[in-house]
Amino acid sequence: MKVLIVEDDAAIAEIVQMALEGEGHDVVVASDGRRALDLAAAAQPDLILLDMLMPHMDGWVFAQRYRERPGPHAPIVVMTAAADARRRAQEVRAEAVLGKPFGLQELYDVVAGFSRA
Amino acid sequence: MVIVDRDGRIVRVNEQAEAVFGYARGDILGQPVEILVPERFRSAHVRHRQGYFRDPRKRPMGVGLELYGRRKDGTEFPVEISLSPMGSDGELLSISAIRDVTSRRAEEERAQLLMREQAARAALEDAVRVRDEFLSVAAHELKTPITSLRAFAELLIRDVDRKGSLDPSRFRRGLERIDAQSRKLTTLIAQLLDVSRIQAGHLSLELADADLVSVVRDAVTAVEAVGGARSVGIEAPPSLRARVDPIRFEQVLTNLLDNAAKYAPPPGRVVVRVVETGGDAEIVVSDEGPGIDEAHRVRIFDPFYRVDGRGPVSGIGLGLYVSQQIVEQHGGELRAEFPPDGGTRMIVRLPLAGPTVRSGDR
Repeated sequence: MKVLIVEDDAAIAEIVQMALEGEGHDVVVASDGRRALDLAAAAQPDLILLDMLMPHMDGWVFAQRYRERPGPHAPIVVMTAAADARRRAQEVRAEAVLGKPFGLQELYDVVAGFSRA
Repeated sequence: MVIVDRDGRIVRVNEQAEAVFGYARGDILGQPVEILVPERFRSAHVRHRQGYFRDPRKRPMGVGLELYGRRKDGTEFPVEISLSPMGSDGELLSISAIRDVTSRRAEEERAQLLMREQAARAALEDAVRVRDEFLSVAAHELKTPITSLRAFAELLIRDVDRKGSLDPSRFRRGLERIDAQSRKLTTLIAQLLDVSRIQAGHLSLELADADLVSVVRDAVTAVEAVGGARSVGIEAPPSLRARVDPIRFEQVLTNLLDNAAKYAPPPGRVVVRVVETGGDAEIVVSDEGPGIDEAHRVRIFDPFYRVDGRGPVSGIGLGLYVSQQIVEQHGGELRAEFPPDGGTRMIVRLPLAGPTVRSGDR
């Protein structure tokens, strides 16, 4: 499965990438929403893991612009440290949410849910 | 209504005045009007009354003062009085229109009390909001390094469990990240504790006679070690002694140097200059970075304020706030300058003699 990670924290982006590549996924990383829009168009991912607070273009704007583009659209999983993670996910109509700090197993489980779908 | 003659004797009262003061007309006619005034004001009242008859005209009595009447039973009540002169059979009299304002005064007091309560509640709500915001930012910022710390550790454990051994370069990379994230957490926690101490007024300095130049050199060495090949220029006299808290002073310098190194990538130079000027030490950290947009300049010393859109720079937005507080506790000042040809200059000014203890301070 092709996964796009949109995350400005380099350490989180790196570990998520290492973990998913270890499971055989194909991973691309963008450090803000603007780059992610370009990458999404070029790479056509099957799943997007999206951080919310990022410079240049945050997760809300990215999700809105991404959905405005012609489909098909990959499901979005929000990764957030906010206390109201579920509300954040609803705001961008995300299919799932990973509350930071999440463990590897939670990451694998969420991603596996979309691989089977 | 009470009418008095030039000698201050009551010559007429109406029913309302009888009711308000609790006297029957026969009891007070011919008595000095001061019978209706609380004892402590009586002598002043005599003087004012005599003054009034020298310049009789219609006017309110005791403007700006709280006036009180005294009832027959000795109780007092707030009044408003308006005075008018009146001629009768060639004699000058004064008419006092007296209003009992007990209920209005009570109403005003209630309104004032309500206002004070509302102000106190607003201040409390404000304090709670600031605290919640603090906790929410703190939790958010702490969760980010914890996420990668935890996931890297889990990944390494998983590798060992699966393969029974570790790829050395992957192992090293994981440990480097864990090390870096725990350092980041340590800094964050220290900053959060500092903010909480500052806001509670408990940030105390351990003052000592120290050589500022050697503290500057130590801070530069530490920043260079973390920043790899990054070198920082130092322009300073051989030594400059001052009364400071050397650990806190080094914390300020490290923060300013870190910022300069983060925001001004190579080949831009970072330079620290130390000079003595008029009993103060001036320490200037300059970088050749992009500077700070004008819109953000006034807020860079606010707690939790971060200038977005300046590239991949992490931080909670507390470094400059904490640094400024530390410098101000030393009796000095920390300010920023933005030269027209670019870059940022952070200027610390510290009194060499240490913070002045004002009388009354402990």
